[in-house]
Amino acid sequence: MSIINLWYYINGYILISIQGKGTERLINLAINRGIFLRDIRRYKKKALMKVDSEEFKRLRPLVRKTRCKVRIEEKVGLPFFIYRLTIRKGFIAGFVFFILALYTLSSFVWFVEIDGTEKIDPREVKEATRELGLHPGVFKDSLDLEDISKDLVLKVPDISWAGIEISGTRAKVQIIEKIKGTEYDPEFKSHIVAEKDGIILEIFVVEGQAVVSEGDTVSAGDTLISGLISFEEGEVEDNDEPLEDREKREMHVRARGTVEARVWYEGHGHSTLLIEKLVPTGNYETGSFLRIGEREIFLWGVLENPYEFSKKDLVKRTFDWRNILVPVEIVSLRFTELTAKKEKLTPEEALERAKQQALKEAKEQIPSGVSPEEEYYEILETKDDQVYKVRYVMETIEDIGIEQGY
Amino acid sequence: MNFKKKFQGVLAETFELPKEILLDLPRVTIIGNQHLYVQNHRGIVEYTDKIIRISVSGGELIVKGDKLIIRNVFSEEIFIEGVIDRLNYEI
Repeated sequence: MSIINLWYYINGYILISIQGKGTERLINLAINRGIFLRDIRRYKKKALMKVDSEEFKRLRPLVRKTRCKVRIEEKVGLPFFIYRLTIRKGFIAGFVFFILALYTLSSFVWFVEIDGTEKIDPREVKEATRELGLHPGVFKDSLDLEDISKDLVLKVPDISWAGIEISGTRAKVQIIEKIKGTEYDPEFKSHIVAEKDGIILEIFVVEGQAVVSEGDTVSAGDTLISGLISFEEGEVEDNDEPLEDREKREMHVRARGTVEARVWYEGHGHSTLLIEKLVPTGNYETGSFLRIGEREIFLWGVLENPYEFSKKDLVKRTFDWRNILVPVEIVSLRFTELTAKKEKLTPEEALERAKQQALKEAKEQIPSGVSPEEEYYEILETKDDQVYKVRYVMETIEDIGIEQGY
Repeated sequence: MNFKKKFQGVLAETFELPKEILLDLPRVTIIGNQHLYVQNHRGIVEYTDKIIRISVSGGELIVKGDKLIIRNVFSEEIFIEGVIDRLNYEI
């Protein structure tokens, strides 16, 4: 539909038919008067044309003059459409009602959703929001979301942050729960125990009672700082107590403090003079297959290991596009043949190899972020002079205290 | 009358003025056999879906064809659409 046709439609036009001998004269007269006639066609004996509804009135006297029969066939256009609509009052009333109802009903909250609850019962949160004024049927504008979210944090004990968002008629309540242990909870009782074996270098007690002293050797699991503090007679300055009640008194606290100790990490390694290594021969086979979801479709080459010893390399080519993960990928395999090759080492080389193995084992045990204070290794005696054994030790100073509740 | 016309013709040619304005001639533009514009006409003489006769200065323009419709009529211009067969001048 072209723009100009749209314009005609909006203005409104009448489809008329002219019959009679004076048809052409009528058209000429209309042209002279400036009445705009469009789409003039012949249909059997009549001439049909479209004329503007306003200009049609001016056509009337001309019709009489030329003695033609003019008939209105159809009234097309927006003004006529609206008129027809106004006659059907029920329709208009229904339409207006619909618009009003839509607007009104969408000004209320109809759904309340709770998100983020893992330990807390969501129904508890829902009940709390209901008491604070957020419930289905409440008028949207009457809610102060900031106030409600702040009150919610105060109201429900395990919530650390609450946020409320209203989208459409749905209220989404997002909560973040409190993580136990990150704040001071006076009810929580614990000891500080040793995480590893070591020799105590320094104890620093913040709360609790130390049960070991500097220089002690401890094993993993030993209590270092106790949360159970006991008082003995004479230590309390309360002299109003009767004699029988003056006994050992106890207090439960949450033990806190750091315990620095010297920790050893040990690694062992061995090596023979004659070792077997797997060396690539230079031969390789490749293959490729297409994976769609769960199904694998063979494309070309070798998919199974053809050699006795080989190394398998796998390269995946996926078709993910930004965030969209596509479950289609092309997997390319490469099998590199290896053979066992015997290599002879010198005694020094064998020793070094054993040492490196031991070092690696020891190093793996050390937690990240800690560097060894001292390192040394020991060559162990072996009955076989073909075999070399090394023990590698790394020493660190760490805080071996770890909290254990009871 | 003829003299006047001849004089006007010479004038038009010398100064290269558009002839149809000076001599009151119609300008006919035909696109394929589908559209026909006539500018500077004097009215419609006959209109059926097979013949349209347009009055112009000096005579008549006869358009013969099939399914002929008049898309627009203005006081100076007429726009015909349809399957145009032949165009005749009757002076």
